[in-house]
Amino acid sequence: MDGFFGIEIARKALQTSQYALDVTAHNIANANTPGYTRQRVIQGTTPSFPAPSWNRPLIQGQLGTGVMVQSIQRVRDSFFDGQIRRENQSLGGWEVKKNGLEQIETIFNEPSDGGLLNIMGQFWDSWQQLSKNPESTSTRSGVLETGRMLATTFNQLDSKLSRVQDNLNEQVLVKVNDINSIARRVSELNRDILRVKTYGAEPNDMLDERDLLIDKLSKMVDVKVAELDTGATIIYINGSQLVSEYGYNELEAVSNPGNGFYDVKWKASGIAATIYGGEIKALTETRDVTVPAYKSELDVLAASIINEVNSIHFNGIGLDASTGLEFFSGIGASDMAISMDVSDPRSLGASLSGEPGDNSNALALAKLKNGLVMSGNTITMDDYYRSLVTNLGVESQQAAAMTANGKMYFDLIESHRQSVAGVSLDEEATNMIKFQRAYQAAARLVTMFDEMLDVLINQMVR
Amino acid sequence: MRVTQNMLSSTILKNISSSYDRMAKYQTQLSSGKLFNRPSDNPVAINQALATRVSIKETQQYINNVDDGLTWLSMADVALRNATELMYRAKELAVMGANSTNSQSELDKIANEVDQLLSEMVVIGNTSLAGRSIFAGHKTTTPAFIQVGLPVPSVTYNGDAGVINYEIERGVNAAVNLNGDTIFQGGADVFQVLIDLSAHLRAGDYAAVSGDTSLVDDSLETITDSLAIVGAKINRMDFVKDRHSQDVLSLTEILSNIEDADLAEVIMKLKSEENVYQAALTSGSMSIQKSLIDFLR
Repeated sequence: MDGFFGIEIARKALQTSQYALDVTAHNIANANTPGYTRQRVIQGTTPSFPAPSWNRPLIQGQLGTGVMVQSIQRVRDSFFDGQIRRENQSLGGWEVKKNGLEQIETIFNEPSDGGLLNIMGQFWDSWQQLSKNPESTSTRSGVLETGRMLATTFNQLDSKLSRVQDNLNEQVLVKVNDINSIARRVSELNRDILRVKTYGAEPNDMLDERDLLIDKLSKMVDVKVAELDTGATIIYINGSQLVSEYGYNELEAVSNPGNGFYDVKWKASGIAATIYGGEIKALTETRDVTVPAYKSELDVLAASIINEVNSIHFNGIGLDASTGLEFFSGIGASDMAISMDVSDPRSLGASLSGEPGDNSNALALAKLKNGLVMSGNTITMDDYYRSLVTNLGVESQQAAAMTANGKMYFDLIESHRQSVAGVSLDEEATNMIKFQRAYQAAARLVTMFDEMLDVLINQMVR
Repeated sequence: MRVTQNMLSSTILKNISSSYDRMAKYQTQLSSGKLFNRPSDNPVAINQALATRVSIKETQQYINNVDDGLTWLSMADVALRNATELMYRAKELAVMGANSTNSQSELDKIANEVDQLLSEMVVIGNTSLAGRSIFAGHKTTTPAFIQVGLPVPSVTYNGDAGVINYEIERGVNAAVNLNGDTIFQGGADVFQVLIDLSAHLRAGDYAAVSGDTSLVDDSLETITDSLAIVGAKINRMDFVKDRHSQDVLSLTEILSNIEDADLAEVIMKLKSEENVYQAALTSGSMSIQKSLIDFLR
């Protein structure tokens, strides 16, 4: 027990308070850093004196020797991480779906005068007009004009839907590149975290960065995350390692020669990556299932208009006595057009007898509007298209509702997570005062010991 | 629950933006006047609205068809009325000619007038509407009747038996034309009666002229029969048109009920949403301001 024992305790106290103030400063500085977890200094007492042994000094009791910093830790509940990532994955999927369906809705543009339903109506009406003026060339030109407008509308709907597919496809490539760059960065962090852990410290900021990256990753693809005792994180996509303990495997978007769309594969093995959730899954699903479904319904409608109109028009006789002509050419929405056969309005087959005033075929064509020709001759073409639009509305409404729900749930969990991990400025200010006072008190101790020693050293000799 | 400044500010931001979102929705409803603008806003209502809109357009087309049919039939009506007037005059002339006190020169004068009546009757038979012969069946671009002249005049029907149908309501056709051969040559041939009458007058054959009187009556009856048919058709068309007009009115009302925004209601909602928005802004700006930091020195 020497006279400097107490001053040593005060020195440790000063040092520890300073440490704690530094951590407080770091917390305040990073209050708005995304993914940052507040850090805490874990303080503990240094080993008491004397330690039990045979030759211990004979003093009463054990004396405390002061304080030390045991570690600096993140305050975080990893339970929320798992929840956030699951929620993120389904949210990411629904967002992509919602955006895709909204685009399709915009393309169909119903209800509006430019919508297909109205243009189909105009087309049938033009045949009604022709049935009243079969002799008139200008009415005939009107029929050709609305027919051309109808065909163009089908063409445009089809090509716009194809463009949506192309956009989705481009996004697949972007997302795959994002995933690869995150995998690379996580792998680098794994290596650095391992190094820091080896000498016994907590690499808090790197852990934060890694968690944030995995959050981002979980939105794009359904990942499973396993934490090793060494500190490394292993990330699986459906059982295959994206990030392993010491490295990572890249994904690759390979253009499929069949349809020109990207397939997602593992770069090293060339095996297709099985993805069950997240943005990538929703992108490929919207691209390969949702959009094609609407395209094919549109094709069915276009084909049936082409076939029905042609089969009736085939019987008609034009003002120029021509007959057996087709009105539309093409087989679907993409190639529907006015046939070359009827480039002369006089050749439109409004008549069945060949007389100029005979309107019977024009009337038959006008009546196609209410003909039960779709879905096994049970509904009209209008009905078919209307149910297409309604289905689109329902699907889009559901995606929007799911996105809103997912967002709400995500926000809820995120606020729970923030409630644990977020920096509270009030709290940090309180800590600051606490550690500042502790520092001041320790400084007082040093002064006090100094005064004691002053008495002992300077004032005893007189 | 531990609440941090960031949680507070993000919650405030979330509330402000969702309030703003609702405000935008009401604004759109207000400016467009419609409750929904895309299928996902309300798929079921959109389906009804589209169906109703199609029905309205369709009914308007039928009204248009009926109007055009009425034009056609009115034209026929006028023509046939003129034809009956003409035949009454022919009857008078025949009765006048049958009187044996007439000298041959008087009979020739009467015959001249009958000839005029014949030409006039051919013009009526060839009545056309916007260049189309209305009594010629499907052969609308050529005259319905052709008169070949001397020495013995004759009038032949140049049209056919074609029926011109208009669709006046879903799946229902109505013929708008009557064929000239039925009207003028269905019973006693109107033209032949006039030709014969003229010939008999010129020949001074009183007995034959007297016989012609009843033939004139016969052909007059055929024409008035056709006139009655045209009248019935016009009545039907008028009736259908009335019904369609009422349909359009009620369909328009249905459509308005489905898709039109109730302006008073939307404005109320918008106003109350504006208040919520203001409140969110005010409370946000107040709670973000202060923290313990402000009170330390």
